[in-house]
Amino acid sequence: MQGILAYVLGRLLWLPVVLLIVTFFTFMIARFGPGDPVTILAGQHGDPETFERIRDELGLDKPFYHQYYIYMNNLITEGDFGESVTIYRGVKVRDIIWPRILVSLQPGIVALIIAFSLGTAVGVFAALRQGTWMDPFSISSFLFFQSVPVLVVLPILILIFVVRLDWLPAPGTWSGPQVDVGPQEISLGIFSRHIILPALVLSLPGVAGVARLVRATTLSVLGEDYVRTARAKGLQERTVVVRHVVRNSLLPLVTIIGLSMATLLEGAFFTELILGIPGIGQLGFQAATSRDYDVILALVLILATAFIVANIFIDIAYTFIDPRIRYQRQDTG
Amino acid sequence: MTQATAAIPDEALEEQVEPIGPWGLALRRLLRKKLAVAALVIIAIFYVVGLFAPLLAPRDFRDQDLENQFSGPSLARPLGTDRLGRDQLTRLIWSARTTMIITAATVVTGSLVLAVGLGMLSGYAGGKVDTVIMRGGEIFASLPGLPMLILINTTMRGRTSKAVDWLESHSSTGALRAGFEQQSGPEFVFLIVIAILALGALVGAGAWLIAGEGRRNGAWLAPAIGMGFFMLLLLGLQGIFATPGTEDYFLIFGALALFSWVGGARVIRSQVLALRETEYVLAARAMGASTGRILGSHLLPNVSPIIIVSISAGLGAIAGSEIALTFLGVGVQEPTPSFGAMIFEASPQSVLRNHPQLLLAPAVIVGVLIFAFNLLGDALNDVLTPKAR
Repeated sequence: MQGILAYVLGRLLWLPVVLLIVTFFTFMIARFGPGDPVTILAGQHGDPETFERIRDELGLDKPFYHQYYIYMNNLITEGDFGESVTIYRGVKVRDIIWPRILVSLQPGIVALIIAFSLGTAVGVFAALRQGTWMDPFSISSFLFFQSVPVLVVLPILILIFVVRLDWLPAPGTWSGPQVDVGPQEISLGIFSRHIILPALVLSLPGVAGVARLVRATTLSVLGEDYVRTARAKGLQERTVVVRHVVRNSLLPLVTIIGLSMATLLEGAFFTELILGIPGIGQLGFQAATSRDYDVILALVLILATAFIVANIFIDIAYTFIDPRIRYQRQDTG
Repeated sequence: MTQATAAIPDEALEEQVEPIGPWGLALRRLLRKKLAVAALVIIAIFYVVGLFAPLLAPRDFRDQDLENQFSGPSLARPLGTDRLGRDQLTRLIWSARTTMIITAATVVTGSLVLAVGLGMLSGYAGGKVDTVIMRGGEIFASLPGLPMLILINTTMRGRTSKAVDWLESHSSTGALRAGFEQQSGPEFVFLIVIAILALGALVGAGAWLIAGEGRRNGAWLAPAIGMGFFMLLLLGLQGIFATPGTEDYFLIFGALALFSWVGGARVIRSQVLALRETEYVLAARAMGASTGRILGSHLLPNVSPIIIVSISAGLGAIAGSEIALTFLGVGVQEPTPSFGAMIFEASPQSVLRNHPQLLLAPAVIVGVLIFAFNLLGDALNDVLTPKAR
């Protein structure tokens, strides 16, 4: 128990250090890039006085380290991520990002549920048919979806289901979750037809990973003594599989939740851009192309924090679930 | 009966005379997997097409034919034309070249130099060096990949293009380009000399890598590996300087390399950590071998299967990242062709409705290629990783 505690503490203490370095680098990249927001705001032919005024307003005339200090000071003391400079002039970044996270989470969570349940089913199916052609076939057909990028699958699905068959609503006519920056309005639209395409596209790449892991653990569980005992007792094969095999083979899935979240986020950029969903993927892209420093910084910071915290919790949860790996972690770094 | 008994010792003798090296064994095991061989063939075809794009493409990829926009497949234009009347087949072939250059350059810089170098250093040196490298890697790994790539690509473009301009005007790269374009003159001769030197170095490195394992029978593989690397290097160089948009290539593979080394370095480090304690390393050290020699001729050959596995596992992701960045408009810029740009141009609904062939050709190629990369990566993992055997 002492070991775990020290390990958890070490990981948690390391967290702010990582975040400090991450913010510093992101801040530097954003500030030293060309095409400053001042030009975007004042226009190509703005007069020098306007340039000067805007620069002063944004604090861009101060030295770099001073700007960084001001930013971090505001962030830590007030939880203030600054203001949007170009996308929504003068609106607090916090107010822009939060509703969009809620929008992005909806297809994301649906996709996560689909990926894990479908992956488990495929994995168990493949493991029970080990040695037949169905085992490699079922896994590799989903491996195909894992390989093919979202930006390839999505237009093809649009071509089939929207353009040809006209089953699903056209992209760009999003009436799912709505977001408005002024008076915040979010309608939670999980149960609309609009969620089908993004959830499907986001979940497909994750299925193969889950399926492979479940297949591997199911195969090892099938060889355990307690499964043989269960069979020897005369239990039905169905009961053996559901009660004894599947339940024990689901544990390692905890480890890949973090990875699945990363894949989801990458996919969100394309689904949101192509389908016109007002989520963080779309926002991030807009912010990067129109050089909205504070929005980019806030996004990177929030996402990095989410990943690191999630991974730490997964690590901790896993050491509690499976005592066998409790002490090995420390030396593998 | 007597014939049969006579035949057996012969075979046995032959096997004794010619034992198969570990690389030969791995190759045999790989060739036995049908899917892996198919993937290998697809990838090879793709790279050959990319390599010889200038020769294979029927037209210039910049040629616009504004009277024949969105024309369907015909004899003159097998895959039709896009919205500017540019030949679709030509653009596909040149896109293969873009993907080839990006994957080759990223693998050499990110996976080979950074991952192998830092991984081995970290594992062998241990202590503070290890801590610094691994903590640095952790920071890179915790950054959200795609947003960071987008950010770097949007903000650093001006700087990179300035740097590339400077490089081209202050070094012999301009001369190299001229040499390539004219195929004659002193620059071309100079280039040939460089090429021969590179070939020699690569063949030598390959032979050394394999002979370092103490099994001479695998040495025949060295020229093959050397040739492969050499062709990639030379044509990558030629591709970079003979294709417009040099700064895009540098920007993309630089950014990708920065984010792609962590996984490989971790695996290599843990392997080196284990191998460092083996008897043969101890023996080498006892005989007074230098650190460089231990790393180079004792550890490197033993981690090289893992290097190959980690490279092949990352190839699909690298190719995909370039296509994704270009799709988002922050990767390779017009008029340089890329699958990402082609898919982007074909994905608006009006185009999809009337000209679906513009989407299907690049989409199918990208899907099959990345699938092939991943299949090959899996197969190599099975073949080369001792645990999976």
